[in-house]
Amino acid sequence: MESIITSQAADIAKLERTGAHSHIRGLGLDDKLESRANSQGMVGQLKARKAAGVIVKVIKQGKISGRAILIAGAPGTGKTAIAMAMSQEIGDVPFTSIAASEVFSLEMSKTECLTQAFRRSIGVRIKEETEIIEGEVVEIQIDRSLTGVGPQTGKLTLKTTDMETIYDLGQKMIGSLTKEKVMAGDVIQIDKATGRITRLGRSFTRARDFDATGPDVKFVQCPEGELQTRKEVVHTVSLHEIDVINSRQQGFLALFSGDTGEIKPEVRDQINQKIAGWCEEGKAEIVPGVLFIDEIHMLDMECFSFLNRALEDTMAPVVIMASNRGMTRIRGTNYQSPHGVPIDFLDRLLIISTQPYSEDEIKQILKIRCDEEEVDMTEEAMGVLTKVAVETSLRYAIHLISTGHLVAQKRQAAKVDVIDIKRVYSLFLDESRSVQYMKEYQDEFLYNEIVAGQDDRMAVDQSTTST
Amino acid sequence: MDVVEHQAKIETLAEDILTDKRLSVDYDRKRQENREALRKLREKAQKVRPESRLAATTINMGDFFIDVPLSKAQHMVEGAQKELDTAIDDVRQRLKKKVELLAKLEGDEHRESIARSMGLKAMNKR
Repeated sequence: MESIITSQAADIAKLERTGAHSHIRGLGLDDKLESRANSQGMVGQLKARKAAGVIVKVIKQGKISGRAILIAGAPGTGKTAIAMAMSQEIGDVPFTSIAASEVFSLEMSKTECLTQAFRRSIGVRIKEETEIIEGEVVEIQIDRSLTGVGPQTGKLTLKTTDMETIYDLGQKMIGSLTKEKVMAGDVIQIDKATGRITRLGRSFTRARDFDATGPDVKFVQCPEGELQTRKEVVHTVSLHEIDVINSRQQGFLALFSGDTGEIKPEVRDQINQKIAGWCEEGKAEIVPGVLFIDEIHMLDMECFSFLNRALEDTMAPVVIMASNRGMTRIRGTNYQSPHGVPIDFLDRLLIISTQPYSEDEIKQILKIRCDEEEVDMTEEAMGVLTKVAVETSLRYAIHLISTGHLVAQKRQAAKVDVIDIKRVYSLFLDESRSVQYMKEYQDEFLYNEIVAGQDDRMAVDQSTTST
Repeated sequence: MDVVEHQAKIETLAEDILTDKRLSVDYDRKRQENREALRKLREKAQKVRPESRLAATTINMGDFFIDVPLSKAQHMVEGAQKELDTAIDDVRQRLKKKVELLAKLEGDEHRESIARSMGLKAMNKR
């Protein structure tokens, strides 16, 4: 009974939720940066992907910073997908992703929020090193004097696959060894500077020592090579993390609560100076990362002028932005501008545009999503779904996959068929049908009057205040 | 032909790295042996008076054994230990450079950048 329950628990832990872009594993480029038609979850958008690939390559070499890239295209053409793929390809540099609306909050000013996002995307690499002794315990011998008083002495024999040695133990080491309940066959690690003992697990060769073992016994290989080694660890922390740690009395706890508040510019200046000093001494190096701002048209004029200046900073990250707007009003002004971005700022950007998908590409994307959501679908149903996607939108069709799967399960079919698609198509309206329905029954909805001479937003405001 | 040359470079470097790794293990084994010896010598030195006849020990030097006074023996082993420590440090420094170069030759940027940051000075050491 016990074992059944534990195996179930393990299965649940393995379950992963599927997100809208969870099928993307990279940009799907070959060695020469040419896009493959269908690879790593990416389909179509060959030009955009190649452009993104070039940028990724340059970022990886650390050659650019303080540049900005705009991914522009109609809704559902894979802008966020490309950004996600870029983050996957970039790998070990910091990648921060925010939506432009996050900037507007009551707790923080807009510029503070943007500064934090900027600093979050700049990493600092530092190294720590510790001398450790790591090996498998062959024998522990602790001698007590006959009377039981007086200092204990002992010997500890450690081995790796290459060597074996005996350490004489003092009073303190004996104490911590007994406290950690170390016995022969354990693999342990001793920090040379502090004398701290860590039990890493039991050696595989001693796995048969006992007939039954507790659930928390971990088996590890006997270490190889030297007994006394130097462990070097490289950490990458973001400037923002250093800011938070230094800005408050509670220090790093604020990192977990997320309640960082505003950070004083003086603190930032000091940190910048300190880090510049470290870089000079060869103790740290700066890794400029990537900041992704989705829905860039939601930023207002102030933010854009701040970005304009912030990008010129020596420690600015690469900023990638995405927008699905065409000519639209810049937020906070009455001016129209492409993508809702001021012309002077647009001039600084490298622009990648995404094209609408062809029918064949849509079909491939739907197939990938089916695999990702573990849904079996017949060829005919796939054809129908592709038609639906072409006529309505790709997002709507993707929604129909999982809902269709549920309907198919209900009639106990293994595969999703045309009737399931038809059923969910009638159950859930797509955007244009919903609009159609609204137009027909408009009179029966509430607050449908639009006051002449004012734009829609104002009308909504008025209607809500009047209630 | 260029490819062959490149590959040959990678292979020799990789071989070199393996040798160095082996070397550092051997050095460490020697270091542990010396440490054990030092411990034994110190224990013995505590038991006997330095001017007594017993304050001598036999050391194995390659093919033959020699009798030396305890303090002299201690001094010799300590000297060897110091040399070993610097030799190990040397090997480690060399190894880091070689690993970085290998990553570069193999065109693995990620590993190269990690190897490069390994060359940083440690924060917790003055």
